[in-house]
Amino acid sequence: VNAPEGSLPKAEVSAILNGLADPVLFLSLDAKVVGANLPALKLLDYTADAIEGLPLERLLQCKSLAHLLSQRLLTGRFKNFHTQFRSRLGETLAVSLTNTVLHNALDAPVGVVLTARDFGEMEQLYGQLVQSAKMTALGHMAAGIAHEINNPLTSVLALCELNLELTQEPDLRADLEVMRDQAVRIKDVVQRLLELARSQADMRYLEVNLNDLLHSALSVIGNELHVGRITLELQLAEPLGLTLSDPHHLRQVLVNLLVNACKAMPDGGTLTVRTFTVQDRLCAQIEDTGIGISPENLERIFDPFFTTRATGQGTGLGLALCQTIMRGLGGEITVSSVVGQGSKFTVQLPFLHPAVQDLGWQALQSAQDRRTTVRVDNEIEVQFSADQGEVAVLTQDLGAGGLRVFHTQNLDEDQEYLLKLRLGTEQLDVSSRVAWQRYDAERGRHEIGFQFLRMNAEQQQRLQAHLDAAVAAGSPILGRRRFARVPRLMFLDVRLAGDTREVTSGVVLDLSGTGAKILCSRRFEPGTRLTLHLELQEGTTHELACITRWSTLRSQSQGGHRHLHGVEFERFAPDLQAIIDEYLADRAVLRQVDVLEGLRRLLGGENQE
Amino acid sequence: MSEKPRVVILDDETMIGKVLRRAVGPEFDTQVFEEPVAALDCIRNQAPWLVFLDVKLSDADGFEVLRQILAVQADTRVVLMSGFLEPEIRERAEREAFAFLQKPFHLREVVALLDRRRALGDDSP
Repeated sequence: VNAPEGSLPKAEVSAILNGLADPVLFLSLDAKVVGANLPALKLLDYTADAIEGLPLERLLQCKSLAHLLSQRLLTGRFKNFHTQFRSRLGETLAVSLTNTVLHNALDAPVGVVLTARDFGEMEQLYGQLVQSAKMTALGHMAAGIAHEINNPLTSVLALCELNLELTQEPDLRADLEVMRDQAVRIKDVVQRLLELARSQADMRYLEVNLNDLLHSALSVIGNELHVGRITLELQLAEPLGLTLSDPHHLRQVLVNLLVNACKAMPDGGTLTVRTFTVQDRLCAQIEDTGIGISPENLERIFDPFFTTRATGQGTGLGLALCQTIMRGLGGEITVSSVVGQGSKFTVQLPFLHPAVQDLGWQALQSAQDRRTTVRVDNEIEVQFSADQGEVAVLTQDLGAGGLRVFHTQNLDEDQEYLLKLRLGTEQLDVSSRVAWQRYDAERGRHEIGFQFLRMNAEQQQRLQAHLDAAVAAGSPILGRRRFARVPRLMFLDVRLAGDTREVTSGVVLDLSGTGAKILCSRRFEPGTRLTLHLELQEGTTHELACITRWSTLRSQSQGGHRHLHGVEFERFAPDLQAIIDEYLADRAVLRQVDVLEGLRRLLGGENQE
Repeated sequence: MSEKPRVVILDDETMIGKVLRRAVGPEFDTQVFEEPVAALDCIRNQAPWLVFLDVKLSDADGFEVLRQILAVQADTRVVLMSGFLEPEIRERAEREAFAFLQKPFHLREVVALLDRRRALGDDSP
């Protein structure tokens, strides 16, 4: 058939057909295949030559239906007709079919186009939709009932504890302790329900090294491994590369899977932890040699409240939470298991979140066009003052004073550069040091991380305001992150006194929040009350009440140990806050290196004592 | 001052008030209220040593009541309590009030709060 005047050339028609996502078959009037587009060939697993001439019934699982369809191809009209294709190897494929009859110029039928929609994928999507609807409904419910449960629970818990203080009678005490523990259990279930509901909303993306994260998660289950006589086998790919993800949530998933694996091996066994890459994805695999999961349970394993453990042993929320988190991170979690042999959970993550990746590319493209300055959507425009050429910028984690730039050439590491940030119509010049860089061979570009050196409170505020505005405007990348204020780290000479004894003479402070990290030689129970002597000006000491929140032991290479304490202040008096603000404004942002030097000085000084 | 320090509890759940009064202990003169008007009167007249205030009252918002309390007695130390688990509520409470107490709470958490308050010294009139 010759193409009529004005219609597209054949090559283009073929390109269009192959570019469609849906499989398309071309049938002759006697229901034989005369052609198929690429998606159809892929789905059915035929080559173009092999499929030609096949009767339609060879491609459908149900013979009688095939017969009926073959007869009605011309006269009948079906749309989204759900049936099953049969692949070359006999595999069943769920599809929905739609037919269109082709006519020639004389309006006589010449053939039929059969469009098949791959329904298997739709079914999968539908399954995900149902799962996500379940989670959303659960979330709404959980938030509502949390309050209703927690209030009455307050009385139960408090009365148990009050009465435990009043009685020494052993039987009664035992009962009260059971009541208290059960009340705490209810509290935990409510807490986890809410975590589940919230897990998708509250993602904070940072650079993550999956191997590091696994090591950190493994440290949590050290005791379980030892007590449970479980051998740990690590097969971690090195170097694995970084990914952009939410480390807190991801770690939660890994810990959950590791704990589950241990529980699946009550008589001991081998826990194998692997990391590897598959195309553009990072994978972590956790395999046990435990009891395994039956096929019918495997189907429901990610459902909320589904548990195979005895009542009271599990909430049935752990894996549901894992799945919600992984989907929220643009990844996936899968499982395979054989009863009696063990289970294997695989967590997959994109190397870079798609939204971020696109932005980076786009920025680089426009960089090459314009040479000097670059705009990244509604974000920050950056140029270097020196002749370093073009850059594209992707703001990242200003909370840690960082900024990441995609650049086409190498910069000197540890060298300071002047970055001209264009914020809308304003310009902000910030001095920055190259903190790290690496070459991305695949994209032919350098990724460079900057550390802001001299940004004062006012500059910080302007940048933050700009970022806030970008978030409000729905910037695709900024909306996913939270930009904390640049932490104000500094080294001060202070004395810390608990009871009557002085315990240390140095402190690292983060006064922007209410926290402080204090290094001293003695351990305090969390909750201990201390007085902090803060010397901001020469000869003027301020005293602050504070309470220790956490405490940890740091080993020193010289064999000594130091305790590191987190301290929380009582609210600063307004006048003291003003003094602190003034002190900080004066010094802009203090370099982290100062803190390290300060610590070194402090440690050195104490060692000599 | 030989009088016992005064503690005010404002929660629309009767049981919470009763239980919290016992948790605070007999060394305090504790008054329990279920609605804000009477509680505010008491706070204005007696400048309590510590106030426990529920974030969600049946007829008022705890944060608004907090604002009113600070308006009548600027240096009142208020502990906001809530059975809601949203981190935003905790963050806001920790910013605007003396402390936040998550329901359900352990006795030791109440004791720790009283200790924190003691650490500030007795600045009641």
